[in-house]
Amino acid sequence: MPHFTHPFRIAQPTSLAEAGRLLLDADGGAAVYAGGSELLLAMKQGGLRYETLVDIKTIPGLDAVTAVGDLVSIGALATHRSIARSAAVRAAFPLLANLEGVIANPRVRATGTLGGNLCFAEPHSDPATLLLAHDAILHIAGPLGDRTLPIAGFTVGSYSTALEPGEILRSIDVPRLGANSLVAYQRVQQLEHRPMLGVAVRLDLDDARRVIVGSRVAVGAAAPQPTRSETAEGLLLGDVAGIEARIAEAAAALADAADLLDDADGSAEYKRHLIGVHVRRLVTGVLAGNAPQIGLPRKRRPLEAMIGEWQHGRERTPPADFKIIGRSLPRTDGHPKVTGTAVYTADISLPQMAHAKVLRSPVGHARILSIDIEAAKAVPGVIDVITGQDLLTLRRHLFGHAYRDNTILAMDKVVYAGEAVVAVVAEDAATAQRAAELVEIAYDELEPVMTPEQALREGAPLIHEEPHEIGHAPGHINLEGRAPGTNRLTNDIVQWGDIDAAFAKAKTIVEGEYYYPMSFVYTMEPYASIADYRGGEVTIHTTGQHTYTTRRDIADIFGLPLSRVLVSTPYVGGGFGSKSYSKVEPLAAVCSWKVGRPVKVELTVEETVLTTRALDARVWLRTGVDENGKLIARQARALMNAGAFSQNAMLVSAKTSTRLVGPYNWEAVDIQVRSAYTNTSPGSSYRGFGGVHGSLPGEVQMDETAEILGVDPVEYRLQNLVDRDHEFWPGKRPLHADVKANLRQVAGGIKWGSEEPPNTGKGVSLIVMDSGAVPIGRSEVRLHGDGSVTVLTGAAELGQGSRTVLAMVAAEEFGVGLDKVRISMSDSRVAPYARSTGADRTTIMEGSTILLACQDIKQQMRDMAAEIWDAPAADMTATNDGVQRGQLFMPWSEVIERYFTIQDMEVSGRGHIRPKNSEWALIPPSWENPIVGARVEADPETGEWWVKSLIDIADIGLALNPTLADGMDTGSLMQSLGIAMREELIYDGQQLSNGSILGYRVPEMADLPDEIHTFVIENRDGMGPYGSKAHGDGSMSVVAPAIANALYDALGVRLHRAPFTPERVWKAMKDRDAGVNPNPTTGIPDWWTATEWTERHARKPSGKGH
Amino acid sequence: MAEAGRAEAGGLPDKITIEMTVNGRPVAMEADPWEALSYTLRTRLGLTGTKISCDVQACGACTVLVDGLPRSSCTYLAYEARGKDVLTVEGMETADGSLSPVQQAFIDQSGFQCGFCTPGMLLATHALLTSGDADDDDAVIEHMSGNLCRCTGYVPIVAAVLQARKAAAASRG
Ligand code: FES
Ligand code: FES
Repeated sequence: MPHFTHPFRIAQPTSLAEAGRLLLDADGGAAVYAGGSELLLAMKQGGLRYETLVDIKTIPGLDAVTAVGDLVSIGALATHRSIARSAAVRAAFPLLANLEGVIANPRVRATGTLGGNLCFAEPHSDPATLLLAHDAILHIAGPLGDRTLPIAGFTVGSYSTALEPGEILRSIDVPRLGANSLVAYQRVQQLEHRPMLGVAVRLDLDDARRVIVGSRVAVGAAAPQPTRSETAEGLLLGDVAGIEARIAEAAAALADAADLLDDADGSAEYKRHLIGVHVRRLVTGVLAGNAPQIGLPRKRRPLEAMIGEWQHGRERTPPADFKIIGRSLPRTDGHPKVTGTAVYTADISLPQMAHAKVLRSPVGHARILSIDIEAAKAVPGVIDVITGQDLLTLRRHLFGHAYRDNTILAMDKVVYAGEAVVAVVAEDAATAQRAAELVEIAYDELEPVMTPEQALREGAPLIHEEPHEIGHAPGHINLEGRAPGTNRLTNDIVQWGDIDAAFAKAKTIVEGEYYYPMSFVYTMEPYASIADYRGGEVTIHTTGQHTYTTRRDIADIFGLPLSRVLVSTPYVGGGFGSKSYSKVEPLAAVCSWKVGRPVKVELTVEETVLTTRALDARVWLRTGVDENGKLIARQARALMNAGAFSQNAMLVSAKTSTRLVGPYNWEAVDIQVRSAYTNTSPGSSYRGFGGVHGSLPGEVQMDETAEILGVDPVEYRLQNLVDRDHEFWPGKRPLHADVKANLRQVAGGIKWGSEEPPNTGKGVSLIVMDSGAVPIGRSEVRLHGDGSVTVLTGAAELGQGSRTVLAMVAAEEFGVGLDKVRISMSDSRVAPYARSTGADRTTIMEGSTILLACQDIKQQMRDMAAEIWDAPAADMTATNDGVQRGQLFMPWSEVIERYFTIQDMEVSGRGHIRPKNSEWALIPPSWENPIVGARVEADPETGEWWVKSLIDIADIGLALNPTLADGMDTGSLMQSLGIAMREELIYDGQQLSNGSILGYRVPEMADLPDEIHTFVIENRDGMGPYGSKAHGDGSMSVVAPAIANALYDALGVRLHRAPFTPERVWKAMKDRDAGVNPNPTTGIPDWWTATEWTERHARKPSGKGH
Repeated sequence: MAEAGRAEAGGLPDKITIEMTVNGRPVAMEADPWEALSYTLRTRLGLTGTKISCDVQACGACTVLVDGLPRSSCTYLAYEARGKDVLTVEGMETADGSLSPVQQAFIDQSGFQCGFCTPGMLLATHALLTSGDADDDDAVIEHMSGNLCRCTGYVPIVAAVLQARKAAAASRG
């Protein structure tokens, strides 16, 4: 919320004495306000509350940085930025300057101060650790006079310092180092900009530089406070020669001295290991004059070279048979997006608009005993306080397209921590938030079930006691997997051939268990919606990808006709599946219905995670190979955590089952995926719908199998891959792609087979995915008398460029420039029905309907021209510019003007597609075959790794706009890298422990590989306009296994669990050294068989699901 | 990290006067002392180009420049901008209304998709180019890593930054 919820005032003292008095008088109700970067953050996150901030920036002279005699004095108010740039600091302590230059981000550095950083004592901070090695002295002003304190005694714990009430840090003195003193510092960061460990070393040598006569070693960020160890320092003293023998013991002493934490950053054991590695590297490095430098974790290629190569790689000759199509025309939404005028939902403000904030359940599973809203209602500015009971008069108080199990506000029980229970509507959001905190709810807690294993255990508590109504748009989802009376939501089965016979004849069988984590999509734009329910109709503005499904959800809630529900999706700040179906629109709508005014609901990122996350998958996979080395059998069992409401988990489960198959020539397949309701945040779609959940097990096991057979992994895939036009999946569309050729191209792109330096390795991974879309859609196109064109389509602009690409289709068809084509937003008030914007459907499906609508117009134009020329319509040909009759030609505008006798008239055309009785009947409409090749470099001691190259394939039939097309892939490659590196949502008991962008860090620019490239394959072999194929998910689905395979090549460790954090890599190296077999033979695991009892409760006997 | 303590507000004002320059125009208003600059800009001044995402100074969507330096307007008080110059995306165009070289570079390189990170990216780039560090590639990466983008994979943004860097060098002569 861009406002602080709790008011505070700001005092402006003119002296430290006055500031100290203000602090003492406030008796804990006031805080020193310096830069404020950490203080305001903590206040915004809700943990910290003060009524007064004492702004010491109004006191002159506290920000000076000056060299005085044998020290440099840094004023407490000097910002990180000014210290990094201070000539005095740079000259005396270049390392400190460098460190100050990489704290957090440039915005924090411009605002935050070193003094504030030390006083706030946030444990994950660097400067105090380095200053320990410098023996910095702190000058403190206080009510009883000034005093000084060595930094070693200043930080006494996490967020805790030795400052007494009323005391204020004035300055930090850093003594100059002698010529023979050497300092080095290493920060280890897993979340960029937030160290998980910092190690500082200082060695004071004698003049001959042969003997260490003094030393400091300190560790920070891994423990509640930065820590020095005098034992370790003592151990380092003595002759430089032979120091190697003393380092390990010194490092161990340092680790002993620190109270190392087991936390989200890593285990204490791993931190202890890292301290050993880095103390050694720093001591030997500093003595050899090549200590690691603070800054980026590795040397990068020059950016000009990298970008030049990337740009060169995307040059291509535009197809000669088109004028518009195949050209990288600039996006039509460029100007609004670079000038800040593009309107997103949160930017919309309506007259009389009120704001709603939600109180969420703090517990995972409980009955609601009572809700007391009186105190909240009494807050000035509050308009109404709404609970689930208020919704009972509505036609429906639950929603969901597949199952209506999603509450708008909890009814009599809560099913996950974070579920919305009470909504407060007020004149402004801060008031609503403050009032919501005054609502008292009494809960009777029930036993929570947090994992599918728990949820599908016989006798597990039921999350949903009543079976739910089937929703209005189950689409092509298999509903048979739900087992009422159990927590089972899905049971998806893919089977063909005789699996037992296939394994019986298999000569080699490879088994393993794999895990892909729960994740958070994090679109930059959180969920938001505005609803205006007045006069018997409701207008909704929303961030959703399913404008028209939401229309139906809202109509169902209120019993309104579809024509009275008007849903409009302005620009959307990223979707990637997370904004599919309804999210907060029903809540905004019922708030508006209740108060009779427009209401805006704007979620924070933290609330967004609690609304929808992405699913995990625990997969057991077995592969059978015959005596000729040919793949014959694949068998899998998988459990997925669907969370508290089904949302789109059913489709993710179904797609995981199909995506576990793999594009190989199997004789027999036996795959079964179950998902379960649990007391966790609802799981739903994410780019690729289960693609990577299938490919991580499948493609890692391909490499494992190839290794056992002694065959090169690329070669092994080529031997077993499905050929073009082969119906590898009985009854489905034959494969319209040459996956073998594509794999060869990627392998060539990463120079497969060439030598790599030590600890560097390569890996590939691929998948063939049935694109998820249901082929239903319609569009309308108007050709105006001046030759310009209006396109009405329900597709939303999520950033994928649909408005540009779809406009290009119409521009091509009518021979006009893009500036003459206007395309609607996804708005049910004006645009025809669109099933969704997702599943890579828009270009091929909406594009096809637009093409059909253009052809409809051309047909009409031929008839009109025939009348004008008084000649048979059969003699007329519609070109892209007008109508041709032999040598005669009439441009569009003339046809319209002469036919209607007025130039401002228009001709409109319609087009639709449907799955029945059409070429769209064969499923899937598109096969996508992403392939990735990765090169990684790893640190064999710490397990850290960096991607050097990421190369992929976009086999898309035809790139209607090449820049936009491969832009999708570049984005997808980097997005998916996040889950390979570090993204994983973690539940700690009933609570999500890292559901904010501070704890869940996505890739940033520093994570870019040195080389990134997409081979765009254009064979015009798709169902979409001009032969295009589904595209958009890109290579999301295959990045993680490619990296796992590359890490094996680099380090010889098998990684079966994403993300491949450095600690997991390190543990895998230990397992490797201990001879642990990553592929034990277990047979179908117990965690699966323990769920078999649910079959007895299944809605219908589960058959072949697909 | 004490719970909210009680304090005498000590007669401190409930409202403060904020006079600042926003995109070259002086503005003055009564505001709350606890008001984030993003709120002032988006709600009081209607400058909705500044976006809010993480709201905890980690993502950069809300980046604006105050006296030329980048700030997270989500966690930066409007109070701090008193007497200062604030630049938002709405003020980036040149005096004649044409796009600035930074804006043009993002269009030319297709340096955005959904556009939600774009205002922050543009201002971060602008700040980079005036920081004196832009010639050092590591500094470019370090500086721009403070701004997240979920759509583009960053490569086209790097391309835009390099194009803007060249344009800035050329205009310096
Ligand atoms: S919204 Fe301010 S940094 Fe993310
Ligand atoms: S363009 Fe969507 S977040 Fe950057």
